[in-house]
Amino acid sequence: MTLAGLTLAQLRERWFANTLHVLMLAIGVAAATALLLFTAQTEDRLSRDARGIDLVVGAKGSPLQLVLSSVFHADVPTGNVSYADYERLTRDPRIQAAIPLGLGDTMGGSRIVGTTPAFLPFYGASVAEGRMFAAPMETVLGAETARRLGARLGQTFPSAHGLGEGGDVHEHGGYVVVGVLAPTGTVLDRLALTSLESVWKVHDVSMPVGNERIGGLQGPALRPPAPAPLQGDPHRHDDAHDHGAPGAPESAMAMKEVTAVLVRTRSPIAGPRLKREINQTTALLAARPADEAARLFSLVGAGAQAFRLFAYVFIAAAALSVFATLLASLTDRRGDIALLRTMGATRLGVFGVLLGQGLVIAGLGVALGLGLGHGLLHAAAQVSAQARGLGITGAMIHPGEIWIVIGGLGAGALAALIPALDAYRTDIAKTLAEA
Amino acid sequence: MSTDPIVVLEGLRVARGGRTVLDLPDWALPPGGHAVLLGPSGSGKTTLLHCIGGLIRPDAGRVRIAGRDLADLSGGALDTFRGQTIGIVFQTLRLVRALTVTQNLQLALRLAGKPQDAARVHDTLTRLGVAHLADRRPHRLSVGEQQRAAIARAVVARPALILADEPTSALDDANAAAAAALLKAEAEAVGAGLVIATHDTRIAGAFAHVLRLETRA
Repeated sequence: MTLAGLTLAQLRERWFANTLHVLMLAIGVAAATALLLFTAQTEDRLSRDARGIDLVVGAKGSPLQLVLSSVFHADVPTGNVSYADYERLTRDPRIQAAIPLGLGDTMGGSRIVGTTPAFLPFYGASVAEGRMFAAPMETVLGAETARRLGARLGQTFPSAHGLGEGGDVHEHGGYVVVGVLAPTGTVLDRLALTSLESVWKVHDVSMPVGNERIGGLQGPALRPPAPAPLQGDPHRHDDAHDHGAPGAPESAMAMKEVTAVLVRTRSPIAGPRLKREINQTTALLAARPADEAARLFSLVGAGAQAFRLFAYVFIAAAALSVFATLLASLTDRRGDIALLRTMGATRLGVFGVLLGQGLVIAGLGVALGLGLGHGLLHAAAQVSAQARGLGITGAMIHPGEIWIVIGGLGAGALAALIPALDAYRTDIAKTLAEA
Repeated sequence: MSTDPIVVLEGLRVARGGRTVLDLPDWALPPGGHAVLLGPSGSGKTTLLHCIGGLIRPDAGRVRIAGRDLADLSGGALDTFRGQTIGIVFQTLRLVRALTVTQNLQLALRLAGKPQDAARVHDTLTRLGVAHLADRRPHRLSVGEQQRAAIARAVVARPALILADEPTSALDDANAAAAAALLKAEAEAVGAGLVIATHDTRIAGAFAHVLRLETRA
């Protein structure tokens, strides 16, 4: 039996109160850990999604909404941009790459992005299986989408209108899977890519996309191409599906539209100038994903701050409770301390017994809390597709956790410090004479 | 065995709040000698015992234990010396509640810097007739059993000196005599000096050395 053994034996003697302390501390540590992992993983994910995109150009509206819808694929679009505007952008010498996006439909819950084959090099993504889409109504699935749908090459999936659940199913022949992308760890994994022509083909003149989900607003229609030199069959919009509204003006058919354009500039300093120029001189909206992501973090940050405070309060409450219990038990055990001293324990030894009790409680609480925190995120990723979509996982250790460990152990040590000092200073003879 | 006296007191004086509570002539106890400090309550028996045990430092005079002047030992060294040299039996016994009887003895061995010797622990408990209670915690024992366990703990590390504070005051005649005999037998078994502080004149007759303390006005 050592002093360390005695430390544990005395903890066991008050196992009920000490178990409560451990649990309390664990809750605080778990909250802090889960929060840290969640914010770190979310920020990491969002910055990866936005990497390499200097500007997003879309219809006038909220810049945050434009970035959310076109970069993070998490909101509805602000509206549409004419194909001519997109072509004008591609001709700007300051722009290295401009990738058009046609949004508005989903396939088995995954968003369909109409775009051009240049989309893949833009994101640095590659086809792992099959090939890139070529003809209309061909699709290349993101890795997660393919996994979730259990899709095989050659399989056909119907698409549904709208970005939410329960949109009307389009009555076209469906999309044929011709390829699957290699996992990227970005939002790409959750998308389904196809050509702009496919999106145009599925939507005819009157089918609105865009803001229809918010308050029933009718966004501008994503219009199919008119007979245009760049396009193939000019009659493709006259195919079998019949959700077209009668009486759509023929002149509108001459307009092709895209939802937004992702832009990479040749030089990093061109971005802000181009943005100002577009916003001031055109009817379009340009937004920088980096700015909007930062704004998003500051919004989320306020909530995270409140949650963090909750975690700290819990840790502090646990420390106070440990303090109160140790101090109370010290009154009972002063005789034990005097006795230990008469048996040869030094002041430092009895100091260590008390401090050790605080540290053991803190150590168990921190260990349990870290486990709970990681487990919580793991469970969230199992249960919530959104969490999974954000790349949330419990199986990741963040370097910041070392501060949680230090903070938790520090709280335990601090709680035990005053009782331990009290034990250190115990006057043996006086204590022995009292009892 | 050293021929130095196990306990030497020279001109010992202790004051509390300006009042002298202890003022003794020189006194010595030969190695392995058994003594009682006899005196009524308030005569300073416990104070003297604490001086001998190095738990309080006298205001004047010296205490030498097994040849060491306690004044020469600083805090931590004194604690260690006490653990290695002295075993104490308290009036209130003071077994550690959180530990079993065996663990109480093991802790004494550890604090005395002695190796964990399971046979020694078992032998000691057996000799004191409490081996069957080895794995119980103290509050499950009767007072008599607790006293035997406390004596076992005081002797297990083979100290050179055993101090006992009023070990018999709560006992009837037969048990007081038995407890005193037990202490003497255990002290003899390990060759230790024994000093018992008591106001109990019933047991004084059994001791060769008696130091009488007077009540101070």
